[in-house]
Amino acid sequence: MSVFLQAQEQNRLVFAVPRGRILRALRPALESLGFAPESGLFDESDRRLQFNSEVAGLTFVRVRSFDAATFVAFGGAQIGVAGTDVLDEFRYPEIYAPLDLGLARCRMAVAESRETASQDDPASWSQVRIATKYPRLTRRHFAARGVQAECIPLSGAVELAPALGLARRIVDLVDSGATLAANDLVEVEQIREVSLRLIVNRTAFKLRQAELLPLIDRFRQEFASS
Amino acid sequence: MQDSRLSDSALLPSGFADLLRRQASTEFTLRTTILSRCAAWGYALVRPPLCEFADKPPSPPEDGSAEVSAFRFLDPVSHRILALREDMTPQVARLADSRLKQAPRPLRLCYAGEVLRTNARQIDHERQRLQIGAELIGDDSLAAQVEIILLTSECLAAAGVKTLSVDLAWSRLSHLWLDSLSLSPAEEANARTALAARDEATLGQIAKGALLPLLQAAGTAREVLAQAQAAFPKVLAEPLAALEQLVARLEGESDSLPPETRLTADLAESRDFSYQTGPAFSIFAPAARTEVGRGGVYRTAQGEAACGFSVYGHQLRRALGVQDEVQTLEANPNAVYAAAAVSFARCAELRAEGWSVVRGLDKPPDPVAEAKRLNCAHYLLSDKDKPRPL
Repeated sequence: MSVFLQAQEQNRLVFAVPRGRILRALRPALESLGFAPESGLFDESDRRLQFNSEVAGLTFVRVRSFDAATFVAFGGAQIGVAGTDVLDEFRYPEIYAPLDLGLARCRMAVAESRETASQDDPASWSQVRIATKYPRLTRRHFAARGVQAECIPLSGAVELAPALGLARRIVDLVDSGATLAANDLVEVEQIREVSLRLIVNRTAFKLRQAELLPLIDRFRQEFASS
Repeated sequence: MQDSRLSDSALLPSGFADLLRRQASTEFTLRTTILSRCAAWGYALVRPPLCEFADKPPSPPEDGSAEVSAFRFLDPVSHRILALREDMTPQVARLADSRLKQAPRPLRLCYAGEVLRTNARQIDHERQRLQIGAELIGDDSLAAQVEIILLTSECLAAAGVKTLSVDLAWSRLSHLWLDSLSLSPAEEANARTALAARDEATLGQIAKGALLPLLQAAGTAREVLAQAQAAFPKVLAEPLAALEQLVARLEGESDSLPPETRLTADLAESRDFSYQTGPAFSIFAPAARTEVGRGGVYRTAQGEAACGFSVYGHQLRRALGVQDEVQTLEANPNAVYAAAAVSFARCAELRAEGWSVVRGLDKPPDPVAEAKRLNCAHYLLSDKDKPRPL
């Protein structure tokens, strides 16, 4: 039997959490809900990727925010947390996103340099070049308003693109707006609100409900008010 | 440096693959095993063509995804647009509507063939798929539904998927409920997206959360239906009663289902049931954690009642652990290497006994090593010999 199947047949549940900013926002909840993952999960200098927890058979994996959705979509992890930005970018039909955790709220927006914005009329656009981490979401957003978006995919430091002449405009997450301001960019159009979702793999939801529902319920009770 | 001539000829378009050895033979076996089970249930084989006229632009799917998934091209002969088939079920339904219109009902048909689609879902990235299925046309009664589900599980069991989880749904249940709420088109579209993603947060904000009980209606079939009777509005009473009868009949026939078959229900499910109208089912293989079949009740283009199922080769290979990426090079236990000294007559005898006989074309210095090199588990040196294990 292949290694792949052996890994699948182990009866553990894998919970995928995005590292960095989101994991810091999630930490209090994971601790107060009694999952008690090994503390190394929150220590980014710990080079391990898998961490045990107090809940029997539940393992946490720490991955990049885009990858949390991918691990859950392909069934590598049965449950996880991902932002609506990532979910909207991939639109994996294999992912159920039952709960809004209301954490790490921010928005997805189009931004351009202050100088461009002073002479620009977004209503007149027919074709735009956009630097972004979210090419599919960006193309879909602009197509819906009749604009063709040519995307330059970046995986970080998107705010640099206008200054270095990659693209006049960017699509990225905006929280306080401080990063935009520091790079002399202004927000010209909001695309969507973003927050964290609890996500579940569709097949796992069908086959392992008895294990997954109690986990989802713990989150539901904690986040019902938000 | 890589040989660019090799990569030019070896590279395949995404979603297309060469199936070798076990993968190819597994698909062949699936085809023959499942079709022979269908034949044993009285289903006659049909073979619709690879392409059909597709002059009319396809109607976009109702969920708003607006994806066209058939390969289309211009026919140099008729100058009309043709589409390569992406699903054989509508073809079989078309057959029943046209050439087999006069055939006695209920009409039982089965089929197997390759289908092509342009847009592969990320998890099922194969664009060329082997589809195998059966359609029961002219009847969508409870008896017909039970027959299709029992036939599907018998086919899957024969194919080697021994434990099953049958997930029941009602394909337009959420639509019925949505229609009764008279929402704005935008709200309705949001509600559908939220239902597909089981998104409680968004659904809770639509019609004061009226639809939320749909998301709770997933789990063991009996419990789900009992809960739904209490929590769902009156418009849904009929579908719920019909599903309850189906569950009762299936429980009554549990001897005909593989042992330990689980019956679950998910009343929010509408995925992959685009043309079904009414009871629908998906079958999962718990051991491999993957979906292996789906089916249900639908109407043909002429409005005739029908029900059927289909399974796909790539999903079944996944369920059987015959992975795409893993090439197995283990010796074939059924293969015997016959040295060149062995006569064709003796080889024929062995083949009649069921051996796969690889006859040497020349005289290698070491026949045993040659047997091993050619992945045979046995060898035979002369006519008087019997196959000997390596």
